[in-house]
Amino acid sequence: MAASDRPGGLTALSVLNGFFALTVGGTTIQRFMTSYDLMEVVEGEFQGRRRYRGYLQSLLDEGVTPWDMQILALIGLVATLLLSVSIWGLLKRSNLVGRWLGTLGGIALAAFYLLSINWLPDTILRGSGLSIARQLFYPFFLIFMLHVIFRRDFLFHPGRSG
Amino acid sequence: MIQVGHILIHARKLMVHSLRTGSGVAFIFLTILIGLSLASLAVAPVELGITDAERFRESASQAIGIGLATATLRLGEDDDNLLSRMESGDLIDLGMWARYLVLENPMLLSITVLLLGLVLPVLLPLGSFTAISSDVQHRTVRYLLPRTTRLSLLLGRWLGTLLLTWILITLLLVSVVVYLSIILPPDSTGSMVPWAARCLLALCCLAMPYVSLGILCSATFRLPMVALLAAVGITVGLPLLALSLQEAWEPLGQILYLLPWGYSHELLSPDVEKVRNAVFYSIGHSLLFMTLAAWRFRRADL
Repeated sequence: MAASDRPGGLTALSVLNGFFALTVGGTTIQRFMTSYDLMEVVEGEFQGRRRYRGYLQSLLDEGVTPWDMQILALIGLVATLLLSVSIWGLLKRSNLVGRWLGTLGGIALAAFYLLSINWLPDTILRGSGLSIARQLFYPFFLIFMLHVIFRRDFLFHPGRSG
Repeated sequence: MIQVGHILIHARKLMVHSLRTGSGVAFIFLTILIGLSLASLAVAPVELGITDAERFRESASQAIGIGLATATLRLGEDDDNLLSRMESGDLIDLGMWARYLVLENPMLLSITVLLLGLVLPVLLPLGSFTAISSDVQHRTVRYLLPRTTRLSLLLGRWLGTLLLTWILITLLLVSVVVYLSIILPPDSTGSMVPWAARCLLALCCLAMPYVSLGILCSATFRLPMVALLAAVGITVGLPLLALSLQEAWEPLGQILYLLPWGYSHELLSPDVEKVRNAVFYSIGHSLLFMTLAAWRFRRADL
């Protein structure tokens, strides 16, 4: 069996994409659930624990709306899907599915983090500015790698698609 | 025979190739991610208001003093009395050293660099373990050797790994300094740049022997994973072994000096003489490891 000539870095990036897709996917589910809970609190129908209700009320007091949470969750969902699909594209060295969907996934991931910083209060973010900078590092790193380091691997791969 | 042109070509090729390999991507990603996490760990308590700056400074000074006492093998048996020994006893120099780091210089930067000094030695083998062993394992080194010498190849790979490591450390430190300059009041950032330059020099010196150790392991073992395990195992195992042997018989603790663990903290010492010595020791360690690597690689059956 012939050994694959795919650079190891692409395999590593696909693993990292999978890791970040899982991380953002988990946060997305959390944002969706919080948005529905916030809606119930706004409508006065929330029946959960008192302490959790207090937390949700504090979010509403700080200006967070269920709509903000849903937008964030949608962007997170898009990032999760794009990053997940791009794993296959990176492994196959597909220009469209690997490089461009990976790029869009990176942009969606950066947008997700940036909007979270902008919209959500510190009680939800629970991190210093540096931990947020750390989160932003991967999307930019991914885009740099796809468009500078591995550009030729996508463009000149014999079995490329897109 | 050493050919400078060949060394530079090997260094450049290694740096470009590192960015394309799985281990290179993992090295860059983990170094930046863990570096920023450590900086965040140092900054978060003050930034999030968990503690006020003065209290944090006091507890950081004590923690650094204890760390220095451990690193200099002067912990002794009387742990309870450690703080008073640092105030007015035999460890007063360490107490003053800790205060120099957190009072006379930007505290958050000092803490970040001290944490990096602890963690970088474990991360650095990730950048160097494939430098030689990968080509030996796949036998591609046979295609290189008719065109170059073994020594040029070894030195070129070492230089490439070291330059890549220095670039990463610089990027990391610059991002931390820029961030601290944004969050701190303007009058407290004046002393940041000179201290950051000193910290950068300290971390670059610290990186040299550990990169050389990684290259030595890479030249010694044919399998990259074995080289990685050996480098990380030696780096982590030696201080643990030294501290436990010291319990049995104090002079045995001196094996800590087989690696830079025993003197690396002196790169941030207030005493210029100690800093100079630490830099020379780092260079000496690097030379020793590279001599061993060259001897091993020259005799290797490739």
